[in-house]
Amino acid sequence: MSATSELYTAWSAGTPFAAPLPESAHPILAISTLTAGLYFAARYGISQKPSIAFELANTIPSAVLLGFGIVFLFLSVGLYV
Amino acid sequence: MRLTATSTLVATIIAAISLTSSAHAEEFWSEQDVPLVPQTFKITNLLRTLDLSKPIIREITSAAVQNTHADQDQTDYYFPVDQAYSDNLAFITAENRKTKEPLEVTKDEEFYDAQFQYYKIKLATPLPPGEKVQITVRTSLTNLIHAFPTHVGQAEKQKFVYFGNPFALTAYPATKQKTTVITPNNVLEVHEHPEEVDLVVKNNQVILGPYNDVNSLEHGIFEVQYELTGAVPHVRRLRREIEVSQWGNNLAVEEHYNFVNRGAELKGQFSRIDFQRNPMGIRDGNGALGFQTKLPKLARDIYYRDEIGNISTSAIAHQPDYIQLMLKPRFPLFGGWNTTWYIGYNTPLDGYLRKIAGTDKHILKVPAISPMPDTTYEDVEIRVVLPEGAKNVKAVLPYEVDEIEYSTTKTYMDSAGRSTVTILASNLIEDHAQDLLIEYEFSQTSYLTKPLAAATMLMAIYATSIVFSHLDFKIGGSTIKK
Repeated sequence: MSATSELYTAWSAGTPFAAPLPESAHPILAISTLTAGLYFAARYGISQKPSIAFELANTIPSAVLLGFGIVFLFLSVGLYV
Repeated sequence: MRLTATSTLVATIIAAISLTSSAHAEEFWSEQDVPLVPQTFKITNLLRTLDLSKPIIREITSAAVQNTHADQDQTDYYFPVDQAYSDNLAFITAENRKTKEPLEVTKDEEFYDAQFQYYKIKLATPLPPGEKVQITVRTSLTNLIHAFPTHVGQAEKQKFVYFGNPFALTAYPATKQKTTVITPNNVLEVHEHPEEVDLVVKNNQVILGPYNDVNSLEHGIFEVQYELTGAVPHVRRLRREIEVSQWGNNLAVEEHYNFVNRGAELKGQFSRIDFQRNPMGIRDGNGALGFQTKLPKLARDIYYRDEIGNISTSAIAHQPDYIQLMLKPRFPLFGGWNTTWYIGYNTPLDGYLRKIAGTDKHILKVPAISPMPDTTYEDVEIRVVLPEGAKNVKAVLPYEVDEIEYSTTKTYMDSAGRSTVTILASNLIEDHAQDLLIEYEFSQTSYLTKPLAAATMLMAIYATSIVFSHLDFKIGGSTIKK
């Protein structure tokens, strides 16, 4: 019982959880990051005989932006991952 | 009187116990009924109320106890409960009758007795010798009443029978004690054994006593038959799943119920015509027509479904502090009938999760179950899925449960899996809807796990594409220079 009460007082003394980003930002961020990610993906896709540097300079940002985009997309449609 | 098999067995057991404690057999059997706990108290007056007006029996015992020890202050008062009722005892609390301050009740492990389970009540301040204090103990007992007769017609009022002890079970001798049994309507029949136990029946009360100079652990048996309309709601299995999403600031709750009405069974067939044409029949009968539960004020996306699909007979009413959810099953549930359903909703996380400033520690506070009035829960599984990256998880509940397990679950977009707490409990009632506290550590960098996991998968595809684009699969070799 004392474990409960000391955890309870710790809970009351804690600061309420703050989400890393406001929920209203989720759809906008989803669309912008997905668009940017797809832009880089397209740049890589249509390139003719690119150098490895050019390829990596486009695929890495594309992967990262699309990764974030997928998370924000899931959150904005109600699938809270 | 016609007895069912269960009540015959209960009556035989209690009669056997009471026979062994009757006066003329005292010389041989007395050591069985001597309480094992230290005899440092004496009860000067005890008033017990046995409330039978609901399917869950509430017993309120108020005792004025006096410290009889010669020179030592006492802090521990022992309250015995029959071992036969250990599965039926759902909730026990104690308070000081005068100051209403709650007293700590713990199940005693020290004094093991085959017949009685002792609960240790710790007094707020040590009681000096000769002084008195008044203690109120409230217990809730489930599954102790039996429908009698076992089958009733659709519009017939159901009756129950309850077998009990006319004496309040005490670990110390009582100078004076009285028990009042309250039934919802007039008492139908009362029987007692031994016959010298005197009782008075007044409308809807049975007054047993006052009895003078009652020994500790005194037993007898009496039987009350009374009328109690309405369903006996019983949830056979509840699975409550809570999913915490810190990315989305969301707490998702989904509850799966397997519900049965434990009232008297239906005699004959269910007649839809009689059911719809006779409102008095609905009022007097024991059909469960709907369920009510409370949801958090900010709950949204509420759904009520079963295996077939969505159940549209539901309604919500916004109250100042909560949302009242009223559910109607697809069909009324008469005695012995069962149904399953599941409900779910989303709520913002900031009302439940708090962070300890300066550390990575987060504490989640959620209600263990959502209360349904007068309902007993047989088997409850509470699963809390924490966000990915939660470490050092610890869960506490204000009451004892069967098991707390820590495991990992994998769902959408998981790489390492999410820490999960599974709590298994049994025989819960509405009073158990208290707060479950879970503490875990979650660093800010754990937020990046999900996007980077997705990014890594995509990068793997891109890397494959880059590698393949630099490989030459042409058949026939390169251009031959002449």
